Amino acid sequence: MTSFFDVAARAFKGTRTPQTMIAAVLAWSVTVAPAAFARGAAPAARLLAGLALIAGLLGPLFLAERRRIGRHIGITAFLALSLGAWLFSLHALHPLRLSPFRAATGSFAWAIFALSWREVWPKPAERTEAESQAVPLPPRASLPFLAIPILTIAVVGSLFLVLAAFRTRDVERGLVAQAIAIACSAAVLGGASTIATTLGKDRSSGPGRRFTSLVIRALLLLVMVALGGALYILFRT
Amino acid sequence: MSRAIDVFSIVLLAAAIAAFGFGVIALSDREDFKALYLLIVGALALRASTELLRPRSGAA
Repeated sequence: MTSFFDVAARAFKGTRTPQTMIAAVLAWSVTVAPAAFARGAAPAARLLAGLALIAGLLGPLFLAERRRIGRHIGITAFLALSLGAWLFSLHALHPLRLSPFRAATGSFAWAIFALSWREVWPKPAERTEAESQAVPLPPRASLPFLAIPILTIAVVGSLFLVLAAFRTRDVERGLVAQAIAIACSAAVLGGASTIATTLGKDRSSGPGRRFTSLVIRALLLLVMVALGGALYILFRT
Repeated sequence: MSRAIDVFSIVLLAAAIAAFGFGVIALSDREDFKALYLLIVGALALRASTELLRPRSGAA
């Protein structure tokens, strides 16, 4: 069995591991450490912040060989422990105490962290045999019908969501509303892009579109939640 | 059939955008339960709209 030190030594031969470690330390030092090690912070916040740093440094060591474990430690555990540290140091994160400069550098640091964990697409020589035997996808001469209107509606809808969040007057609630609006906008743009590019695709050679069990499950869940919630709101008022 | 699924998918996308919009407005109006309900409905509608168009090889 390969020892941890062998795996770590091999990981350091590439450039990705040090890059990812530096990105984790940067995100941690700009956003987690100032909150967890602020004056009056709970000991649990310091403990969780310390564990988060360890997870952020350990994860990239498994990038080369045991990528799944590496992602769980370097992304999942790092984020969960950072979140825990923030929850135990909420007084340091009050919107009135947040500096715009630190907020901007924090966003930048987390963007670098996200990019450092990117997946590199395989080079043509590394493709599997099944991929090389696949039928090449024919290019489209034009965009699918309704693609532009769908994306226009999605972009306008996303802008509306972000603007609607500005209606919130409370400072704390406003921060949550902005975060939710941005997340919803990103989801809407992603979903609309998928729909716009998938519409009208020629599936004559493939399995075609069907109401598969997964689709039926998704629709049933939607109907149940929509009806249940509507009835609850109706009878509560 | 394929055309009807396309249209249904677009309707679900529009419903998702509307649900998200009303959800954010409900959040700003301090109606937390209504906001949560609408945001969940929006997320489920968006998921269903994309799942509809995804081909499933070997699925029933």
